[in-house]
Amino acid sequence: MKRLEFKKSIKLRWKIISSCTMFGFKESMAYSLNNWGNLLSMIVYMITYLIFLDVLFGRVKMIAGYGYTEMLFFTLIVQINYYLLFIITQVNTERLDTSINTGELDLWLVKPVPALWFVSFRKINLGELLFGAFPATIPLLVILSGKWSVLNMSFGGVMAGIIFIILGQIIIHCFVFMIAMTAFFTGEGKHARNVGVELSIFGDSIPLEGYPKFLKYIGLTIVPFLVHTALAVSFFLGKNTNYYYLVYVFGLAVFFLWLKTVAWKFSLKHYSSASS
Amino acid sequence: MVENGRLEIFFKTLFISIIIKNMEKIIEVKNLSKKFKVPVKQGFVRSIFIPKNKEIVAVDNISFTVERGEAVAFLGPNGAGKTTTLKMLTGLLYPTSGSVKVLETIPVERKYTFLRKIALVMGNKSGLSWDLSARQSFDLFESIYDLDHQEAMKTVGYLAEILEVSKSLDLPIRKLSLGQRLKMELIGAILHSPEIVFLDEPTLGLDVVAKRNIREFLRKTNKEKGTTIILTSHDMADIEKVCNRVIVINHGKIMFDDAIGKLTGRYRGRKYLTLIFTEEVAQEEVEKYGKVIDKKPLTYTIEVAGDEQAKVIAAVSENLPIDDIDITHVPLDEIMADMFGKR
Repeated sequence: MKRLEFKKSIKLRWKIISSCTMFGFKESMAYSLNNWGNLLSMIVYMITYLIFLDVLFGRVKMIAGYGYTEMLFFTLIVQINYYLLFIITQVNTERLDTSINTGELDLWLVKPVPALWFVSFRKINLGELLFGAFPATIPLLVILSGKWSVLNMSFGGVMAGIIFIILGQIIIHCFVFMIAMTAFFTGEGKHARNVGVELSIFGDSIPLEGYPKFLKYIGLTIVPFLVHTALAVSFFLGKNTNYYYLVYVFGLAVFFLWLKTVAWKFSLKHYSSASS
Repeated sequence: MVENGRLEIFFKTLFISIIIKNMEKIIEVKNLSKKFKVPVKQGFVRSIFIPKNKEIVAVDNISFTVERGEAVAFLGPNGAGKTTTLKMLTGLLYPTSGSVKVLETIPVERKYTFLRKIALVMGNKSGLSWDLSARQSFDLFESIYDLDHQEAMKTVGYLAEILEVSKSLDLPIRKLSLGQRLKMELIGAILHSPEIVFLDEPTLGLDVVAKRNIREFLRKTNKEKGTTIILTSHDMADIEKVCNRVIVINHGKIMFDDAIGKLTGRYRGRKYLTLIFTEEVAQEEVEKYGKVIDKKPLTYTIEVAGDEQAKVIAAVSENLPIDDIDITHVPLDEIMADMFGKR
């Protein structure tokens, strides 16, 4: 009986994600000119960044123990993580904030859906993936295409790296979401949410090995900004092979998921709903 | 003789039990209260470091029940506690004390079976995507409520026809007028055939035709489908046209809970006479016959005692340049203003 209910619940959650993704895609396609503008701005940004890296590595050979090609790979993972954070977490927490502020959340809380799941994945912005993430990552992939052999990659390291990206995304999603939930109490959480997003991508400019011990400790515990990119790349490139990190990060993800659920229930209990 | 008496008692009992069964209570509210904490206005520094809050009682110890198929209106001035009550009935707000049961469920538990059977429409809030057409939003609702696509489309077509918005189904919501958007909201809300529809100011800001259209639709839904309707509105016509019972709330307390007829019945002893003149008449002249309620060029509305109505009409016809006289009951608007002490 419980297995059947579990299956039903998984099916419902999948249905919500797929319907919301389709719905979100249609929404993002409503303004086509805006999308082309986004694509163009991403190409300009990526070219500027690649020139910056080129100039930098023209003067130094290594940054925090990472060579030019390794830094390009680091940038690729940064981009992937940034867009995952953007299309899943940033868009949905922004919507949560607006919904609380305008009272629109009321209309969604009375729908027969698991509310936390729904507001977490209400809009998966595939349009952004298409017009933002691809132009940002394709030039990198092209430059990296002939240089893969320079990178020291093993099967175990790649697998661990992928797992760290997934778990890291779950962790920062919960982190940003919990900060966004302050809107339940303050009525407006835009700037608090921006702080959360900035903290989440704080580790996206320097590799893990470049951080002092103190920041490394914070970035892998209470403000977990080092998991999704820095730790993942360190494993991808074989600079770290301590697989106990997998167990630790898994535990951290479970803890953050639990914390998010508790915070959600607490927030709903104190929800005062915007006046009509 | 004794046998006949027993048979009569048996049938009476059976009849009463059938009636009781049909009058199933689907909303039960007992001693319900809701208090909000609001910040007290202080100096900038004080409000940051030593913030002070005061408690506001939005709903104060109210109790009532609603039976299946009823159309009930919550009526009251701004801040009376109508919307807060509605939000507690739908599970959006946790009560501070007391109990609420809707469809045998505690609303804040947000059970799937409960949420599947209710709908909420808020006149000033939109559940439809601004950038997509109503039909595209309905597709999402169809998934959420797990509806059969063909059936859902048929229902959308039917409802859109009644509400006269068939041609607007494929236009982006941002391109629709307020009236059209609200009608789409209504269609989206009742697409899954809910047992209870909660409406908060559903005709807010609409023109006369759109209002009439929505009222007729709600009345039809209530009569034909037996859908229970719980409505809050400032528009008395909404209440008169849609509901048969009214709960008057003021300062969070219930002041009246009965049929609309009984509320207006309290004022049956008073009549309104609308006097239309052929030429300008001074207000002092008109005031001799009753209290002036409203004044327009060539038209005055006066209030008179019901038993004096004939006498006043005769006197006015004889002494003033009368073109026409219209006799009406005291409108609900005026009754409310009287109850809430605004007159």
